[in-house]
Amino acid sequence: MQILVVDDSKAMRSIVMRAVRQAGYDVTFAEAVNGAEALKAIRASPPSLVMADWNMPEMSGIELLHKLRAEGNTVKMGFVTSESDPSMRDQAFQAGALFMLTKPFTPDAIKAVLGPVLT
Amino acid sequence: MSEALDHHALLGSLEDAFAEVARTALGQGEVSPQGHQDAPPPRWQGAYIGLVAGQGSLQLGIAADEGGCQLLARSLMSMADSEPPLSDAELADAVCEIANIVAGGFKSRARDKVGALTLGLPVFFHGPAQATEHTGVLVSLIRLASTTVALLLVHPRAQG
Repeated sequence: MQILVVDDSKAMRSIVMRAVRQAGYDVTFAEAVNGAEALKAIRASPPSLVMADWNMPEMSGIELLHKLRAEGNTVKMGFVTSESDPSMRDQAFQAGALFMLTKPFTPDAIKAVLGPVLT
Repeated sequence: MSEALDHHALLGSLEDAFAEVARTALGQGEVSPQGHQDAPPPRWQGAYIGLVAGQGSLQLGIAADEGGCQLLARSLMSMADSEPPLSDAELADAVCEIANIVAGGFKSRARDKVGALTLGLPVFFHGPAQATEHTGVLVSLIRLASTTVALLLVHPRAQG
């Protein structure tokens, strides 16, 4: 099982990967620095789950999700973002996101969103 | 953005957002406000992030001296004392991410004061923000662990 972590911050990618491991999931990780890089990676080798930031240069997380769905790609995807606007949450779920985890997040919050997705 | 905007109230929202991030993402339970001023010390560094509203924009900043930035970044990344100092690039990346997370908390807290805001991307800087004819700067100094952090709010001045 592989998770693609998409964030323009190397620090945040490390934090997300560590939090997933600490939550007890035995997964491997791939990384991408923005939506455009993630799109290429997903097309080449679809992961089990994409955990993406919302605000990123070149291609945002929501743009990535729209592009994936537009080309019929149903890869599981959720957001890990500092955004918490209700309108953005609506936008994310309408586009097919499985979760929207707001930074800063707790280990319990990671478990709560990944539990239904990875089991 | 409204000319009647209470910038000190917005600075309070920024302080609250930072305190939450300090407690959660940084694992630093104790933050102690040290008062407000017009600018941080000139040699400090940190990250700014813009928030755009329909009628104007704000910039939020988080600044500290080199050691303070290392403390913030290392706290975010849960680094042990034995691990070597972060490189300049790693430091900038981590402090920018802290600014990003704080801005998200600020955005939700300030929604009732300024309406919907759009987050920009953070940038790392050296030196203080400079007030101009059109923009003012408010600074809140916060004691966090062994360092002092400056929270900056760059805001449009009321016209006329």
